[in-house]
Amino acid sequence: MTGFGEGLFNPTDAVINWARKNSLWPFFFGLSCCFVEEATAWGPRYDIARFGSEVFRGSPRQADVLIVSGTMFQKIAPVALRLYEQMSDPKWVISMGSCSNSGGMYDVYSVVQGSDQILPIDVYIPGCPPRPEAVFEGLMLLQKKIAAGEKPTRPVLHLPGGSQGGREDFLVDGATKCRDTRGPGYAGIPIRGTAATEPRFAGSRAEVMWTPPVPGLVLTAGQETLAADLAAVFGDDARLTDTVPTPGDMPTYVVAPARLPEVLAYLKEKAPTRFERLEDLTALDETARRVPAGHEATVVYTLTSMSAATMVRLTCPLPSRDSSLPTATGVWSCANWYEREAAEMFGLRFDGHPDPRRLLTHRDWIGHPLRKDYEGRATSRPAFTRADCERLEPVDAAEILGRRAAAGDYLLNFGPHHYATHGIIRYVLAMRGERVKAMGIDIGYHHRGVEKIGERQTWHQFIPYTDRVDYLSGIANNLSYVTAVEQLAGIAVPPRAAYARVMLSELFRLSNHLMYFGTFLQDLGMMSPIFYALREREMVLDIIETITGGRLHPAWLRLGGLAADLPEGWKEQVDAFVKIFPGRLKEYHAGVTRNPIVRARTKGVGGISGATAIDWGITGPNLRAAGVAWDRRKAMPYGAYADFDFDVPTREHGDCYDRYLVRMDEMAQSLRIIEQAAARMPGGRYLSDDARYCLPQKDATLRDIESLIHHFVNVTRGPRLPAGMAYAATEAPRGEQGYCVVSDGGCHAYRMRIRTPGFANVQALPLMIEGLSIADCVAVLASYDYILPDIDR
Amino acid sequence: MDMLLGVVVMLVKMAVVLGVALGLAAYMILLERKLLGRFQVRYGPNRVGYFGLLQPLADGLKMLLKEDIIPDGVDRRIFLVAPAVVAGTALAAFAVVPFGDGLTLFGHRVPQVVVDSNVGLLLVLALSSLAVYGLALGAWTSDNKYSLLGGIRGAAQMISYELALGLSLVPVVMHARSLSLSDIVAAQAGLPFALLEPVAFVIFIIGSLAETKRVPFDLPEAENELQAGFHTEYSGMRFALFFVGEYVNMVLLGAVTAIFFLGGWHGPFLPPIVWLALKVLAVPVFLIWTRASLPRLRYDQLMALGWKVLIPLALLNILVTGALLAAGV
Repeated sequence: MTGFGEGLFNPTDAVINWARKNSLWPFFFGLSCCFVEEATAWGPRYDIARFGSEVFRGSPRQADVLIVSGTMFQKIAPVALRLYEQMSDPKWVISMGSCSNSGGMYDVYSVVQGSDQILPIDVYIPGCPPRPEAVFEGLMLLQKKIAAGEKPTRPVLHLPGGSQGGREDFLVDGATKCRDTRGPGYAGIPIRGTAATEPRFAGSRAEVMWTPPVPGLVLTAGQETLAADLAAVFGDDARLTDTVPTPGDMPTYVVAPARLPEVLAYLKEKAPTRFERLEDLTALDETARRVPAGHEATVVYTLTSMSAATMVRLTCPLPSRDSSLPTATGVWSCANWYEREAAEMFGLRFDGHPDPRRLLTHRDWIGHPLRKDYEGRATSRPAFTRADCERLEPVDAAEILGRRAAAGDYLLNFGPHHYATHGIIRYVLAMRGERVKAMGIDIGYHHRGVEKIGERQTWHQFIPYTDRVDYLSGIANNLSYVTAVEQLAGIAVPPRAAYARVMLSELFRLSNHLMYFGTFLQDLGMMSPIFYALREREMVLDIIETITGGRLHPAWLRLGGLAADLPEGWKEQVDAFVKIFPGRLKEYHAGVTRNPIVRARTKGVGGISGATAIDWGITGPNLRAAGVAWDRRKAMPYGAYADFDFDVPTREHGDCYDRYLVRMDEMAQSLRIIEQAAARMPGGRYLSDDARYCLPQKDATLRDIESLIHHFVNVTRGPRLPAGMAYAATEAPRGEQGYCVVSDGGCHAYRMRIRTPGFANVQALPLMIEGLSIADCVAVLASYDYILPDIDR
Repeated sequence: MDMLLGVVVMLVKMAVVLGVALGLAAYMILLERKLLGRFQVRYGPNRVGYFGLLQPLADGLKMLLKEDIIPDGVDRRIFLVAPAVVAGTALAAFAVVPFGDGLTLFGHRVPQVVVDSNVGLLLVLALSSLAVYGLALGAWTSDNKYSLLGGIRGAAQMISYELALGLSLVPVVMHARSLSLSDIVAAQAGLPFALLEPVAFVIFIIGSLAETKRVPFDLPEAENELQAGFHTEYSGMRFALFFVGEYVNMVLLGAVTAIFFLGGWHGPFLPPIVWLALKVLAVPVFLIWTRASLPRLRYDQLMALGWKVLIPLALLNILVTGALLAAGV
């Protein structure tokens, strides 16, 4: 005999299931790129509200479904588990995107290879990232699962038996799941590429292939003067490098570690050419060089002179990877995070550093991930389990604030997961009432180890990873990377490709700034602009989709050109958009810019001076809002930008209002560039004919065998680039994004360093926020426009 | 016999008022979601039942059956009671709200109000003051930092704006010469007070926006700042009570605005109950509209607006009204 509610069909079950499936309120939880597409499902074109699921809940207590959208990092996994546990029953979990499903393309030390190792997943949505339509598919699958599979009557009545709330078990590697990328049973087949050695193929001719040397550098008059001056002041302690080949992108000096701060200070304040900004600071592990370097590690300082629009590189050879050298924080305060990162990634020590803690990895991390002998693949390391999650509880707030935490402070954890953090980053605010007295930042929750991955992917294979470094700027990321590699190998880009690159980068700038416009106002409490912004953003994405076939991550640039020619019909679409958009921009200004509350909330809030901004390495619209008219597209033009007519919008105060206005103006300027590019798009090749490094055009591979062979070789083994080093930065939507590619003459990078705008920008946040109220803090964060993988990489 | 009939009539009235208020609140949520959809160039709920009409039912049933979490470290009794205070006070205030002149049933005159109190206006204000306790205590006892911040904001905001709200009603009382809501409506048979006392009307609307914690005054639950604010730790039906309380409050606000300023059920051509319904709905729709179009004020700006603008203005308005009345204009 069966008890109440245990029969095959029970009307009570049906009613309860009906209510639950039609009222699935998602928890506001986003990890990375996928969340953008998840949030787009709220937008006008898709409108998840139709399903009654638009009620995002900020508190896990009130939510029904957790959509794990994005990469599950080891550092965030304990947080995700805790939030899941805080949700009230019944609760369901949807895993969205390849990363959450299996680790996806991020088979790397910091990423959990599947969130099902930690959480019970009910529905998997495939894709990288899945489109908003796929979010609906996942939601409807979950609805079906609830309606068909659950018998909630007995649990509701607190009787034993029945079922509700989906799965409850998590998976265990080796027992209930297989993390091996080759699939179960294929353990005997080698995985291509490891961290320390490049993929070697039996009898590969890449080893004996001749490549022309990297283009050398001819010093300009200013650079000659500087070299002479440095030689006079520092003698042999700061000399132009004599290694062969010499980097062709900028003068490179070898500096003795002991005199480093002195040289830096000299370059910043006294030299004939002043270098105002510390562009980047990173290190190299030299132990795996084909030709031994004679030392184990090199620290690299890249400086930019904004007055002379030139750059210089200082290298500091160290005898051992455990060596120490003096800190540069005395010269540039922003060296702080850079040095912490170099220290934890390579094991170096910086004497006199004010805060020598780990930066990106969690506190209990063992090893230095960017050392050549460190195993980079997660699948070659022990699985990250639920037990690890419980062991790695987040560190205490006072610890993050460090010495500045006083007894009796009201410490507020703002993140790692919060509406206003725009991703997973943790701020600790020491509050007095509503006022923020001190602010501490803990980053690394979104550390995807992409620099390590760069050391195992071939030059072309790495392009899709660049899309995801700033996941709202797609092709603008591709551009920074290919520009650096083309600089290294001396590849010329045909004009059609150069123009198309500019046009697409600007389209992405527009799409990014539209998202900014929406989220910024959302954080001021204005809920509608985001929907209008998403409507326009869809138009931009439609163009991008027509041209590239992708939305967020097109991976459409190639070394020397594009993946394909511009398709039929692209111009009509661009022209239509160029006609419509100025009117929409006017609407925005009418509805928002002139709103008195918007002005009251943003004017004079969180300002920063131009000089401070430069000193802290702040770049992009945030710098220009502070009155510094510096835009790499104008100051140091790259690609085809020199051919275009556009202005560099600036403002004075660097406060929230100015940061907002600069971006609004930039949208108008981007539109001008797009219009010009579309009107003057040259004909001709879309890929360089430099067959040594570049892919042949597709139609050629269908006609002649030589092209087909080149295509095959350059796709599978990848081109072999000359040994050398090149840095190239572009004006990405959020600021200056630079790639420092180091080649050892292999088919992939020896070191892939990414200088991101977010890293420098966010480090300076406490300057703007301390002393403001919590509402202002949110306004500053929202007006600042950072993105997490751009900070943590 | 009369007394028995009186009790029956009273019970019926209570049931009707309660039912209408709760039903309106539930569908107010749907209306808000639909309207927000339209304001934001999208549809809003339309899958559950025809035109999405069953959406509130699904949401309500789901909430009712969701786990009710009581976190460790909370003061259990207060934590459990707080949401009921918010919803309860809002519902109780409907007792003094009249819905018409009165009916004649079986030769008896039945007033269309649960209690026609001669201090109705004070009761409404008093009950809305009590609601602060639900919010502040619920937040305080949740043992959560975000709740606490929300609770402090809520308490400060509601106490401040209550003053402006109360003061804005003084001219109404001066004109009507009564605190009974029925009398106030009767006094507007000619001209609604909104036209007679536009300043008081504006202050009242702003004050009540703040009382209902709606944009631009939604600081206590400002999600972008405080995640879910004062109700962060509440789940299931207790959270739903806060939620329902907010929407009952919106309806209540519509009702009292209609009665204090818009002339109640008075109006040409249409039957009185239709006029009342239209006026009662006008305010929530206005609230939804503001939510769709305005950003949120900052805490100090909110306080400055309340103390430095609204309260002095309300006081001045009382003086002017008094002077005009004394002068016999």
